[in-house]
Amino acid sequence: MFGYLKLHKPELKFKDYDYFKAVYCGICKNIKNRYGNIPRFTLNYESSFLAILLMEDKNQKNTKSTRCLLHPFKKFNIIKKNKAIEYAADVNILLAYFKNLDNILDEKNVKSKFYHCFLKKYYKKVVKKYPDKCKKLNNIISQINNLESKKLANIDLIASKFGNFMKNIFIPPWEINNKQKRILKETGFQIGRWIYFIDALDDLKNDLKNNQFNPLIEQFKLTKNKKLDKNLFSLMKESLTMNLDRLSACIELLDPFENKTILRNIIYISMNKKTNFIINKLFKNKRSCNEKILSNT
Amino acid sequence: MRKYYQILNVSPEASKEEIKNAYRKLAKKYHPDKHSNNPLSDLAEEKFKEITEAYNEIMKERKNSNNKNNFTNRHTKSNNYSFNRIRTLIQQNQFRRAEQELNQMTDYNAEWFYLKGVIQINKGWFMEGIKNIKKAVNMNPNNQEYRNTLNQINFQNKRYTRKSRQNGYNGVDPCECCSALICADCLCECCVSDLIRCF
Repeated sequence: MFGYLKLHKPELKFKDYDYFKAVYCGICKNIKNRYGNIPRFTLNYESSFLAILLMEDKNQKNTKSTRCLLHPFKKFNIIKKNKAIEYAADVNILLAYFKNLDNILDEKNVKSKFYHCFLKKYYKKVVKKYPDKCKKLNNIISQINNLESKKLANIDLIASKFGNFMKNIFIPPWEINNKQKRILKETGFQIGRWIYFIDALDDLKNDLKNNQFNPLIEQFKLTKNKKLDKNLFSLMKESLTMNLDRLSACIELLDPFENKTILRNIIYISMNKKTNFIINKLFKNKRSCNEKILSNT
Repeated sequence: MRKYYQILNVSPEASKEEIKNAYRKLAKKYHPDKHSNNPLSDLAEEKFKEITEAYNEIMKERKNSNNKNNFTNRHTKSNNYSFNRIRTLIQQNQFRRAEQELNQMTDYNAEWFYLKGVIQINKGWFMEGIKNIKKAVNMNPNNQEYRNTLNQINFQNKRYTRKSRQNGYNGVDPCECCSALICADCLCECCVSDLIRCF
């Protein structure tokens, strides 16, 4: 369910990429220091996005260089420990735990059950730190699972629930002013909705093949052999673009800071590309072939 | 009350449509988006607020008097009355109540779908919302308001696409799309079949 908030490297400046990497490695290191080496493998891009968004001291000088276990001969610049990094590290554990939980319910394979044993330990540590937040998140997830098990055919409803989940994630545990809180809430909500939609679209083909639950199949009565019609295509495209438009408005409303270009890169280019790619692939649009050719050159 | 009419530059006897048009014209002129890079933007914003306030006050007053009039013949106009009520609720940002009342109605006409769509978009249910507004436009293509809302959605989406281009996104240009199609056609023709007949 996660891993969609990626950078689009070709349009990024080196300094921005370095900063992003420093944040990414900073979170990784922070996880290692507080949780150990195993959960470092669950590192996802969503937490880096959140860390950049929440970082209070937004200049690039507060870095230090260290070595990394994976690359022992190279030195890396990482962001020094601060509360945004720390929170992002906790969020990373939370997201990994909930994602794995979702995998267990969806696929019921042994692998995710095996991961679950590990992740549970770290999850409990996070719960101790933010008991209220985790209770809320757990509540929302069980609501979503409930809706999915009832095979309720309304993707908008479930996606909004997931939006609420991300909304709670995006509110930091420290005090922030009301205006900023509102912006962050909306940002989280829109990102959550987008992720859920994209995930559902991405899995649609597999779910049709394996006869698994997918809200889109239920809602539009899709079958394996039926062709996806054009109306659905434009509807998906319009609603997702609207989603992204709201999200971009949130980012523009934030007070300007230097590393906003990174967030802009993710929202305007990478998410747009992903949306178009997934929709075009699914609906077998002729354009998709062109896009592939163009992106390769 | 007279003051408000003066701000909008209409006579107090003007019809609802006339007031709406006058408001639209002025609002377009002073909309903050138009003055975003202007040192005088705050003045434009003030003006815009003034106009909006005047318009809202006039509409509120008219609605109140209308409602009083309607009260006597409520049975004949009951549907219109509740639609208006729901519109007022939407204007007051009471979306949950508006939706509850809307769901109790059984008259599924264009207005119903339109209001449902507006409420859903405000809730964040974009897909259902766009679907319902489109349905309303299809059911009643002559209604300017429905079409305006749909156009606004399209406009916002285009705004995102445009900004995304400005930030470096390069999707498929229409021109490149054409040339690619021609290329594909040529290739197909090499293999005896044909993609586009006319070429």
